[in-house]
Amino acid sequence: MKVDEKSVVQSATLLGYVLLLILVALVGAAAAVIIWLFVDVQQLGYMLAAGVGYESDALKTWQAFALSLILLVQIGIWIAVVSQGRNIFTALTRVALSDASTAAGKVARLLWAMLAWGIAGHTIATVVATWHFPEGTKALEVSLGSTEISIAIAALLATFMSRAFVLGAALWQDHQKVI
Amino acid sequence: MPIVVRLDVALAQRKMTSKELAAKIGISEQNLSVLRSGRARGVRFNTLDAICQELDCQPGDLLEYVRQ
Repeated sequence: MKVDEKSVVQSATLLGYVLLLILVALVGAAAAVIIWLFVDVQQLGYMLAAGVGYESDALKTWQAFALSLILLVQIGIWIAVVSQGRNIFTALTRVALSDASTAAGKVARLLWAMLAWGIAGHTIATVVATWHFPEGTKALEVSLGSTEISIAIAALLATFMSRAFVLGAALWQDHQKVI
Repeated sequence: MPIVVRLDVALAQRKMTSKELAAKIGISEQNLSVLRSGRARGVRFNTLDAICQELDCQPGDLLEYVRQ
């Protein structure tokens, strides 16, 4: 079987550009949140509280700030995931499968972190958003929905991918030594 | 490695350079050099076929088992 790495390199280059665009969008979103935080923290807080499902006009500044911080951590993890994802494809364009394996391993760990923060962040956000609510109406929600399941599947796939790349690297080296 | 590649001998007998052979069978000089020096981990049947066809020889003329 003739192994042609050109098509893999082309796909990797294309996906690298796609992830670069996503990375730029995420950095832009993070910058927008930070700017909004300084311009109108209350408005941002209301929007985020509504996003959590507990809209309230009586939100205090610290609550708005805390909700913004939770969102920024979430975006930060996303940026790290996409950045490491780009490293996978950059390594693939160099046909450096062992580097791709290392990057895929990091993506897997970051996706598990994203899953953990997705659940913890939402729980903290509901507590923060309802902190000023009267006794008996405060909330503590644990969210385990399709988003969390999707992230868990993505993390499992990334873990598998990192192991597959290790095997691929060994096979590729062997292939290179067969004339 | 007990398998010794005798490509140098076959080339010398036919007064052909490895560069010429590489060009004729369509593999890189670097790969042919790896094969000649015995550093290759394996030889594909289609590579062996191309060399034998070009040098008009048998695989046994190119490879020899040396008991160690």
